[in-house]
Amino acid sequence: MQIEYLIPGYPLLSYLLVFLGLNLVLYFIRHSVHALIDNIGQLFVQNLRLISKAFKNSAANMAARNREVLLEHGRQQAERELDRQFMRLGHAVENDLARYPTVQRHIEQLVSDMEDKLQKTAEIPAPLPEWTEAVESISRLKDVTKNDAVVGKLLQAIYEAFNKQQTDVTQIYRKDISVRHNILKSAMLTWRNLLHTFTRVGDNWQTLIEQAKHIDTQLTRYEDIKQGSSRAERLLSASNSTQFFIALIVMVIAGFGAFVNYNLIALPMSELMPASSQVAGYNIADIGAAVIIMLELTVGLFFMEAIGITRLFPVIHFMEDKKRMIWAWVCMLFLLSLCFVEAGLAYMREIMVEDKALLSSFLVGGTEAVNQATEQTASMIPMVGQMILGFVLPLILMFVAIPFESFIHSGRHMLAHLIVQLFILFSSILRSCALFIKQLNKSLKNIYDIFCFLPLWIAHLIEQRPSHLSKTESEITLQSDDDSLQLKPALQAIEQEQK
Amino acid sequence: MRPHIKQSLMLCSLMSLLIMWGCTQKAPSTGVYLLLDTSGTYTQELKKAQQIIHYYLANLKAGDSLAVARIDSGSFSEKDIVAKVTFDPRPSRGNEQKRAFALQIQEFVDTVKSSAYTDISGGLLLASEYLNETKADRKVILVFSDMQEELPADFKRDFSLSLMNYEVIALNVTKLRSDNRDPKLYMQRMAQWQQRVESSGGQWRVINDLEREDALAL
Repeated sequence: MQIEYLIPGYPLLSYLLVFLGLNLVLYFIRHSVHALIDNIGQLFVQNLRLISKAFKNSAANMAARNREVLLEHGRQQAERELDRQFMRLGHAVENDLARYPTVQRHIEQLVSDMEDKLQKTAEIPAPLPEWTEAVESISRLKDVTKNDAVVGKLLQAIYEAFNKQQTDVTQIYRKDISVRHNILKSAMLTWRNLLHTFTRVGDNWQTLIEQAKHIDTQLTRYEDIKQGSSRAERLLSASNSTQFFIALIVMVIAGFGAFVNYNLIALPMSELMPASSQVAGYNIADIGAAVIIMLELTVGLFFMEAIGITRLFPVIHFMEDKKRMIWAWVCMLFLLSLCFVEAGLAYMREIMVEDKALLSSFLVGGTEAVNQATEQTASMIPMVGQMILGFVLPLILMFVAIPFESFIHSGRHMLAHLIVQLFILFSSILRSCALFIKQLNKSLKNIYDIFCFLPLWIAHLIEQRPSHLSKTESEITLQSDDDSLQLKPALQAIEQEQK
Repeated sequence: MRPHIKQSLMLCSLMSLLIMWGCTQKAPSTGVYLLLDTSGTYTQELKKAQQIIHYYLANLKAGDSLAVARIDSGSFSEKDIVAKVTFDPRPSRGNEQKRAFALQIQEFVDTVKSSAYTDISGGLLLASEYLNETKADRKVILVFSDMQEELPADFKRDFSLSLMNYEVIALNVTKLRSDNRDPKLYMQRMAQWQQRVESSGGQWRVINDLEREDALAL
């Protein structure tokens, strides 16, 4: 039945009647619908909030755990650095102290040499003979016995002898002085030697002081880390990120190296392993080549661990030194064996490539082409190059252990940091969703109210009247209460007067 | 190491080995059977066929199979198989097989004699049987012929072929004089073969331009 025929002949009235009926129905079920919307909204909002809180808590826990791990790793690194610094300092002190008696003896010897030389230079040259005074007295005779030829000759002889004597003495004196100068000159060398020795000792001490300062800085950093200060955490985090990216770049380069290595041995591996079998869509030969490279990497890791460069496997790291060295030798033996295997495979590869080229020549040009191809002398350089590459690449890949360790340690922190950020993001998104649903809930209720606006409006009008009346009654009550409060002190005063 | 960690590691290793073993499968192989028409003047075209054989020899991998047979008056006979091989998994051995195969084909091309009739259906039946035995994942029958079947008087070839999942490729289908006079004959002939192959469950293709490497590629 169509709506316009509800009241025959009055379609408008029919529509109006239906509209009013619907309005009334919506009004009567309004509370139930509102409750339903509220319930559904609450269901979603509460669950979303719960999940958001769970994410937030997980992020907080993970961040705390990450911080602990970061600080612990930083502490271990700082301990290693401190160990190394102390070891260096120990070596320096040991060397300097061991050489100290020698240096002391050397200095003493130099000082005694200097003393000897100074003593030698302190020797006073022989004074002029005392008879010069006698000569001087005789020379005065010249004035007493004037114009005496004998005396004059005598005096002349004395004068000449005196002059000669004087010249000899001066020469001797100069010679002595020259000798002393030479002694002093040779003392210069001793001085320089002494100065050099003292400078060297001073430098050693300076180095020791610098190392001690470095250790002080390290210790301060170590204490910061141990106390878990935010500064230490910031520094460690920054250092970790840098290490992660550096390690990542090196690992990518090593990955390319491994790829080259793989291509070098994949073809000859098909000669050793059946190429007609596959695992997960990959040829067994290709998988075999990849396994050989992985074995090389693993052995390289073990070797680096055994010689104490990395600390990835505590079992190896805490072995006795003797056992660890045996382990290192075994690893090196295996690694060299794999290197030789790769070199052999590289040789085989070249032979196979040549064979394939000959086959192609045969198929294209027949036996004549093959003969021509075999007559051409092939260069040995590619084969030798491939063999060297096959031998060297595993040894180079061995060093991946160092960036790998950094990658693992820093990557853990980075990954955890990323997860924490993701959790926080999810938590925020979920809270935002909860807020959205809450507002949507309100909006839905308002929209619902729009559809039953007429009964609501009437109800509102009806509700307004009794509420006005009740308000008046209450106002009267309040007024009476106020009056009684105002009268209360007056009544109390009357009572007191009566008493 | 804690015992439960050790146990878990052992379990994981065992599971990995089992998965590896379980996942080991035979690599997909291809079986190619080439039928060479030796009737009448078509023998002059065999040099082209030899080049095609060399092309497939160069491209087929370890585990693949290749057979070459002649189409003569009665082709449903093992005597008509000129050479057949399944390539060894080792590349060096595979290359030797390819050389030997090429030499056999060379000898055949040098000494082939024309046959009076052309029994294509018999050849197709033999090819389907051979490829079935190879258990190749992809089965391809190449027919190097003008596709004009001419049978001796007492031969019956009205059987239905079983070519489910087979690819039948007609190569170098030369046009006969009669085709030149009335091309409808050629078209009818090709349509008949297509209908026969497709009704047997196979796929039909024609390649006349043998210089197109992409068309020949498997």
